[in-house]
Amino acid sequence: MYKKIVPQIKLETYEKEVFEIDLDIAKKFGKLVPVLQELLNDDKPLTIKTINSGTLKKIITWCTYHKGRSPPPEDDDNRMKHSTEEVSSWDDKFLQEDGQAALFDLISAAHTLDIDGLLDVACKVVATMIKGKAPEEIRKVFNIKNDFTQQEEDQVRKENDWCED
Amino acid sequence: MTEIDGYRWFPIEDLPDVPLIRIFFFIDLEDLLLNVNRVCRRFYNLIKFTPTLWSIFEFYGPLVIKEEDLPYIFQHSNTVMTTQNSDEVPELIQVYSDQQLASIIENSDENCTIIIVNGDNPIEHDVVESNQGHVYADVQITNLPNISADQDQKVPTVVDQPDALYTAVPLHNATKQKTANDFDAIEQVETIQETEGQSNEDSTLPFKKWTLCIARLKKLLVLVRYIAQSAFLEC
Repeated sequence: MYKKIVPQIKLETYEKEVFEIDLDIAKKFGKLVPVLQELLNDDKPLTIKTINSGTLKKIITWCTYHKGRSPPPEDDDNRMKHSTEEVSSWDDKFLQEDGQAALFDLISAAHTLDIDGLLDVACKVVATMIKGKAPEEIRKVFNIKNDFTQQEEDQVRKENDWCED
Repeated sequence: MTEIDGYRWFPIEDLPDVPLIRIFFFIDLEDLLLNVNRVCRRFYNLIKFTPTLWSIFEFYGPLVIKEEDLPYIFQHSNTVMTTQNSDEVPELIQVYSDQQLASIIENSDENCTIIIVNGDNPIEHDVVESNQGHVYADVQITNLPNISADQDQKVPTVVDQPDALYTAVPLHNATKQKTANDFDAIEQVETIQETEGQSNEDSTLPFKKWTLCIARLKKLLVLVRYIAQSAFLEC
């Protein structure tokens, strides 16, 4: 009986843990595409110090889940309409289950590796968290410090009062 | 920044600009301007200076647009898409100045749809069609004292508010009036006349030229003030 040999590349994380990633999945990492052949021929892993093991595991899980699924169509209309409606319940749960810090880490890693689909869906999840909230609520949810002076705050409000009802 | 087992976890503020802008892209412009850009300086600057976020700017009615806001709108959006009624194919107009933008708004009628888009990202007509469900503003520009009187406010003089030469208001709230104070309408008319090479004899022309001069000076002041404010906020 023959065992199917799947070509794999090796990536080393911040914790020096080495992951073997199927070529099919690695092809989704836009940053790695130009060097994939090189990585396949090389036994030494590629070290990415800005990504931790937990995040890389999540990325692999996400890519594996979406491997057999066709990516959402590039819909310019939806992009124009700033739509966040098409985030599936699986994606929503998967991206939020480890908390905010892990989500931002995932966004940062998806940006570093240029994984367009993951970056898109993760950004939509964060956008949904922001939508419809007052500035103070947004600061509270994301633990952001208000670095405006009172004068600046008044100025910003004045600057945009034309779009207020 | 938080450290967990030697690894640095990034809060939202420490995300690079590109993913942060991508997050903002999925939020309505109105929400960005009224809430998100008031959160912190970085959010404010990212929203203000990222043209992609301003790719579609829609006038919703009823809306009052102040003259001082027009250069700000124009800074981000320099293409106007307009149609006189919802059945017509929208007409795409490239706008070269905030005065021209004001003029288009001024000449819009009640059924007019005005969508201002960023010229660097021209949108297709089908996008406009998909937006037909929205209520767009039907606005016109009239002279300030009448509007203030309507709103039971102190009637300001041009000296009180040198930058408020005209204001756009919903059409049903004010009748269209043009006076010598409506400097930009005069400017627009003169520009058209010059372009078409029709030298119209007008006894009030010296007065109009004089007022036009003042209007341009005041516009310069508004611009300087706007730049100064932006610089102050960036510090």
